[in-house]
Amino acid sequence: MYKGYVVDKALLDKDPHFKAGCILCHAGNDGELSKEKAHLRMLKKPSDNLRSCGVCHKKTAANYAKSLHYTTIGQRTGVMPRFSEAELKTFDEKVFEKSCRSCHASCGDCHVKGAPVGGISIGLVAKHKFVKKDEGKTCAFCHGGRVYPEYTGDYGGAPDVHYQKGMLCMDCHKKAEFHGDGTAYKSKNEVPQRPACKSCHPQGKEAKKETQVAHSLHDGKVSCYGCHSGSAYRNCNDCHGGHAAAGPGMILGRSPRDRKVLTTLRLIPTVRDTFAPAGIKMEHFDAVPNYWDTPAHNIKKRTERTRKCDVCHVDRKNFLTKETLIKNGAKANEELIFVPKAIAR
Amino acid sequence: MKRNLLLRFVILASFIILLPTAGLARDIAPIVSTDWLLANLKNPKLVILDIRRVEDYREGHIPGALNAFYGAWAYMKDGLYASLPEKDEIDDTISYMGIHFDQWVVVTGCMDTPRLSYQSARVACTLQYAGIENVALLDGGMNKWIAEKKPLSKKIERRPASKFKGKYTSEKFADKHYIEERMGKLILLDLREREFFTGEKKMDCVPMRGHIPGAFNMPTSCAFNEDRTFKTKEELRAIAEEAAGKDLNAAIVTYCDAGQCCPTWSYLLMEVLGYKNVRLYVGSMQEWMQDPRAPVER
Repeated sequence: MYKGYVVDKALLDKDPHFKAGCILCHAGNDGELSKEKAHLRMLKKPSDNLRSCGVCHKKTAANYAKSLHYTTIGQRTGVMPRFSEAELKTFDEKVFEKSCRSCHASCGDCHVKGAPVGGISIGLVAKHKFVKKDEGKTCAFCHGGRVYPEYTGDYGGAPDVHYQKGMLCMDCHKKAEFHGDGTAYKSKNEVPQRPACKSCHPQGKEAKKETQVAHSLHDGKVSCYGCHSGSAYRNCNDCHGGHAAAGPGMILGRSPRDRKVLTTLRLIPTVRDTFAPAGIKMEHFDAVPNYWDTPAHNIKKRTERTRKCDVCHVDRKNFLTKETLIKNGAKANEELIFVPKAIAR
Repeated sequence: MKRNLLLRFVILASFIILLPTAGLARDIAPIVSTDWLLANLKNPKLVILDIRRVEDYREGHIPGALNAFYGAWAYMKDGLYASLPEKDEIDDTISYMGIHFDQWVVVTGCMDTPRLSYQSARVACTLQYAGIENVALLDGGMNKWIAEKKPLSKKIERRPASKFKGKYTSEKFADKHYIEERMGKLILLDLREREFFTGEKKMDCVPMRGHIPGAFNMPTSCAFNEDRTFKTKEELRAIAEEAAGKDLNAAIVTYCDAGQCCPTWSYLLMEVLGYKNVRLYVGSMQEWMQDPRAPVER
């Protein structure tokens, strides 16, 4: 057997994907002896065309075609309020289709071979086995700049409490969230299958009375992350912006999506000249803040904020202030500043 | 006044009489072999803690082993790489694992690199700090278990949570102040590799080169064979006596760069060789060298 043969031979008889041979997905000509002829019209990544998988997995492939992992439309939704109508058209043509969309995940990227990120791929997840999930090799690779290392504690600080308890991505983020339900959502915030802390930790069921009181006092005012984000996380801008050294940071401010709620914010890398090379000035740059509400993945049961009210109400630690706002940022940033009140004692 | 003195005398005498029994509470050996563990897998007293990453645990683990990732036992806090979690956090972790004081806890981990090989001892020392006496390390860790083709399971194990409240000892760990106060009276063991001890090399996280004056060098790697199993008791004793001497009552502090590798010798000295007064300095050189006035020798 050819030493470089990448498919584990033991799989061939076990997995129905291989029943009809390689050509079922990869096309090419299996009757030819020369490599050149055999590989003619061969598909390297068959699932780039969802119809390949859709032959057998019709509903899943149809749903997935509209899912956010495939459409990556969330990136467009986030940035589009900065553009005029004409600019949006240019953005769609020159940036979204040519750049943002390159990040979409095909079926194979999660189930067979890791997607290339910055030109680097982990290769086959498990010798061409069609895996149901392998978060450490797939999710971790695309979401490895932030989120996954925060979750595992690799940026320093304690790992997320869920990781400490042996949980991985898909213990909270269910299959339906990735495969989609057939609706083309514009943003992850619209996805009904998104996990929510309260689904597993219903309010009012806390073991301790003081915890119940603390939760009830902050309910609707502070997101769970606001207090339970336990350690370092990275801002997108730390790596992409070129304006700040990469390093852990954590910011608390009003949620751009719901100004009544205080939550964890992440500084995103869109600055005034981000799309200048594409000829886009961003006429409405100031309409959208440079900070997005972020679901922190470094949750801890006990943090300095849960231990001591003064961390927020007196020290105002890591709260967004006029002084800490990004320089030359959007005017909308100022609306996210929140000054916690002192507690009457 | 007289009564007070008498009371002090009684307490001191009781302490001296009970001291030799302090290390005798063990029901299991401090280092257990893979064969012993296999034979005892069904022992209801046994709890196996697999401190590898969750991803590795899910690939296959010792049947019945619980996943207790190392990051929960030592993590970056206040700029120090391997700080000790707060006591209530340790209680939370142990409670979640369903561990009680009377259980036998065997810690195992990945031995792929020296740094990973040293993690199990740190967890063992933390369990002892919380008052769990019957703690053991699996000799050779998961690498030996897998190499010997012993059974592996992919079942994610859970135990009913316990309401663990640690009986914390103040005698397990040392801080900078403890060392400074006793300079010249302690046996300081620098457990880094020789070139880090002499100052030829230094880790990025350590601000300055060198070691604490008067420290002896006893690299952690010396405790292991090439296959990452521990050396024999006699071999360990010969190494330890060379650096720490033969006085089992001597006050010893182990340290390294960031508190990640010094628990190994600390554990071996106390649990295998019978030294009675050994503490590990968690902040280690990372903390010590941050103080420009701290004494340093090269």
